[in-house]
Amino acid sequence: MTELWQGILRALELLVKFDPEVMAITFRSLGISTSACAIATLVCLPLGSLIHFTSFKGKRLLISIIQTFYSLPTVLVGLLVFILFSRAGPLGELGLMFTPALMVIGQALLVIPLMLGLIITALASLDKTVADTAFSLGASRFQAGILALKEARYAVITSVIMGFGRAISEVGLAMMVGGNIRGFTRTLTTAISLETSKGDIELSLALGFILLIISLVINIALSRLQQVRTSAAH
Amino acid sequence: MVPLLKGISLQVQSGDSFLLIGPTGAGKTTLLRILGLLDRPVAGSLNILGVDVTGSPDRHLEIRRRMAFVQQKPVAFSCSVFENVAYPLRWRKVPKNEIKTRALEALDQVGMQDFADRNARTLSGGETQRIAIARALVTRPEILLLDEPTANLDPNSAGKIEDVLAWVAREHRTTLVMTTHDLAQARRLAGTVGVIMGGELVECGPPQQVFNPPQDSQIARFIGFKLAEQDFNRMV
Repeated sequence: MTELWQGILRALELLVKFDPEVMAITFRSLGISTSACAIATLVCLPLGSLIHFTSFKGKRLLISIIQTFYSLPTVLVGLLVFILFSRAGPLGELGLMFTPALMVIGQALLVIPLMLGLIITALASLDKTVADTAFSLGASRFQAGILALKEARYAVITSVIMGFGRAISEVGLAMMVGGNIRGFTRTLTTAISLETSKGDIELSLALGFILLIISLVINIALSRLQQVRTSAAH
Repeated sequence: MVPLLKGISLQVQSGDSFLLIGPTGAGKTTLLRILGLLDRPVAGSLNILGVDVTGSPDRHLEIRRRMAFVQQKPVAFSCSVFENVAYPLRWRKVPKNEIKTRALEALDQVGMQDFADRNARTLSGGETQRIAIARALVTRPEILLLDEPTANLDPNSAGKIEDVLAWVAREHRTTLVMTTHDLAQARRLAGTVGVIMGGELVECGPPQQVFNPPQDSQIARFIGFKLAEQDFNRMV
């Protein structure tokens, strides 16, 4: 118990003094997950609008498949990315294995189904009259899509935040395709995993506190958005 | 599948005010949505402004930009009243200074000029209806489709909107196609009245032909003619 208490105090000290290694790991994690989310957002906004506004055979099946991938195990995505980008893989020549860039790609692939599904749901929850009104006043499909995304902006932002939450908290994919290389691809989750296995509780706790704070900020942001959305609806 | 509309054959003259009346569920809104290119008929052809749009979805945008539609339950976008009315002009890439002039003019026409900066989502049902009408008028459409545009308005406001619609039809030669439950409104505004019942267009002609007296007992019953069935049959 004394050891644990000393570990907590030491962890707090690392945080308060902005320990360089702790800060580096934190900013690297934020950078990788934010980049992954940005890529996923750029893909999912137009794709989600296209799927929502287009009638085609198999649309419901496609949406069911997307929703099935919400809780895809991170190690499976990691395995897929590993196979693609390993030296023997089809994209091995790009030399991206064990780099932050590949972690960004992997996390983007991980969060795309979640973000895409939530954006489609957000657009589907809009009053159908919004799209009809836009079309009837001369909007093109693209213009109506932009309007719909604006009208559903709170739900869309929520989907982006949830995507970020999934990205920053995953460990399997980061470990498999990043390699947890100190000073290069080590993130909050992979560092906690490593340091705990080494018995360095202080560093693990410090990183754990940071991850907790990030999760808290995400939850507060989601909660605040929900309040704004509810008051906007009334 | 039960068809909502059956064998509708309709021609609306350019510049005419065509008012469609009929009981609830008769198919008035469905017909209007087809004319507004929001829904597609499963059979038949549709020619709007001289263009056969039946098999040409690529021409729909061009035609829709020459029309405007006011929905039965209009929705306001989540922005100011001014921005709501400006949206159709922005979609048409109208210059900024012209957007401001035309949007304010349209708001003035419906008596909402003082509401320009208000959040459109805070408006009442009647105010939203007036914004929807301004949003349609601002595009200066060749065809104006309106689904019960005065349904949510008090008599005074409804009267003002009728005046605006009559003025638009007269001054700009805009073709009006409008549904209404208000038979007196139909008499006042219509150049042609269409009666739709059970998905069929049962009567079509000038108001004096349709209303005085109705040729059909079904129509007569709908418009509340206080003739006993036997009196009507004796007349016929």
